[in-house]
Amino acid sequence: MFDFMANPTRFMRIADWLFRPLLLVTAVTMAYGLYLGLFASPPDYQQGETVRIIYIHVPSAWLALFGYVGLGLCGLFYIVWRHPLADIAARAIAPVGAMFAFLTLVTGALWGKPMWGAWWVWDARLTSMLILFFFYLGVIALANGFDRPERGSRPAALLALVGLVNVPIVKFSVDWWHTLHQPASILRRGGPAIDASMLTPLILMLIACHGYFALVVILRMRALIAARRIANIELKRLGNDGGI
Amino acid sequence: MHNFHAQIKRDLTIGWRNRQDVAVMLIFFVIIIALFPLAFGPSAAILEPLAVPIIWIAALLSILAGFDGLFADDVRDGWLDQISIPVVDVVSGEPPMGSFYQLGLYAVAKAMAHWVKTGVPLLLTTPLMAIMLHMPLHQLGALMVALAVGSCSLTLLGIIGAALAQGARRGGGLMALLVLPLAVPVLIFGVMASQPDMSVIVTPHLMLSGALAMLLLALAPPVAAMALSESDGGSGS
Repeated sequence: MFDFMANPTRFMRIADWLFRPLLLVTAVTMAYGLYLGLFASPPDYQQGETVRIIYIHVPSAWLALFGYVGLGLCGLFYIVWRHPLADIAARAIAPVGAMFAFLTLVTGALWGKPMWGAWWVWDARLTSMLILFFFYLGVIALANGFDRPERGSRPAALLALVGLVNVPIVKFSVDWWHTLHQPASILRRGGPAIDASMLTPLILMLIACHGYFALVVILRMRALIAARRIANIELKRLGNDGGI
Repeated sequence: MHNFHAQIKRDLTIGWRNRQDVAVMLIFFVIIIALFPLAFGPSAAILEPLAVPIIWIAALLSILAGFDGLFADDVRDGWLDQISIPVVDVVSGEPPMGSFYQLGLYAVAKAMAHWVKTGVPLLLTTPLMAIMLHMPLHQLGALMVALAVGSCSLTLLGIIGAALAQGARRGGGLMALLVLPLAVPVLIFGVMASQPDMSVIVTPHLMLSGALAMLLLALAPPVAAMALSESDGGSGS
């Protein structure tokens, strides 16, 4: 499948074909999920109405992690198999994942203030999510830090791979260090610990955010492929004019 | 193997000829440490619990500062291209290694030479710094051992960072941005290993620090080789 998608033109065609159904699914699940989450689901017995931020906070956190895994995979594909689209995919994913990480931190702070009285604590999960955000920023900075743009692809791919070690740390940090952030409630032994009335909007928002992530990444990849084509055309034109 | 030793000897010789660079790094180390009492006030009651973390942060920053442009000279004068050529060792008749392995060995040789040049002087300066920060001296043994292990980790991390950022526009700051998130576990476990509850030196935290150093020793050569093989303009591997 990845060989099949290596041709940029073919990828663009598949992406175009996918785009509208994906947009529809994302819009529907997000609308319904937000309606259920913000209005129709019950308030928490301890936290009251402020629990509703969970429907944005948890999907953001999940997407931040998922995005970094995707980034690492792109790095792997670029380094090992030199897949032509891997570099473009990595450059497309990185800012989106970084945005989700930032959103996680901000929504977490907004939740933490009324809940625990603190905007920020140096809790294990918060800190490792902050470190994940720094990793994203590092990959973006490295990819764009060279005078020749393509020169930055390989170091960024390597850095993304090396940073993958942080992902299990973020996921399991709440189990390893019992500090402030609550432990895992969904992906744990014994099944989810949340009632269906709250689990449903949560799952819906998760699907919606995945869809949103995919949509934005497709849009960015289109733009990056187009930009590369333009750069190649410019180079060819300069060459045909006899250069300097 | 001959090349490996030759590379270490080369770096140490160049380092000895430029030994004022080590002095600069040590002064940087001392100044960072001196900034804390200046900011927090001279009270020993405040400084004593902070002494070990302060020394660790200063060590981290001064080791990283020394990696700016580590490979730049070798790239610029063509040394990197030279050692990327697979060579046959005519003396022992061993078959040639690929350029990837040679670059990896080069990275490890650079790391070892760099540790001798910077890590060891840093370690030797640490007891003086501990006294300046009113650190209880019975902790000094644990601190030295943990710093010895941690400085190896940080040196290897610096190799990774310098190789990745080689040729970048704002190399120094970019390298710091890359390496500091990776250095966080080294810092955390290192500080925990430096402050054991009882007066034992070998604690689980120290063993975790050692594990990190071993992991980095495994990671640094391939990552550096892959990053450097790009910077010399070749297709690598």
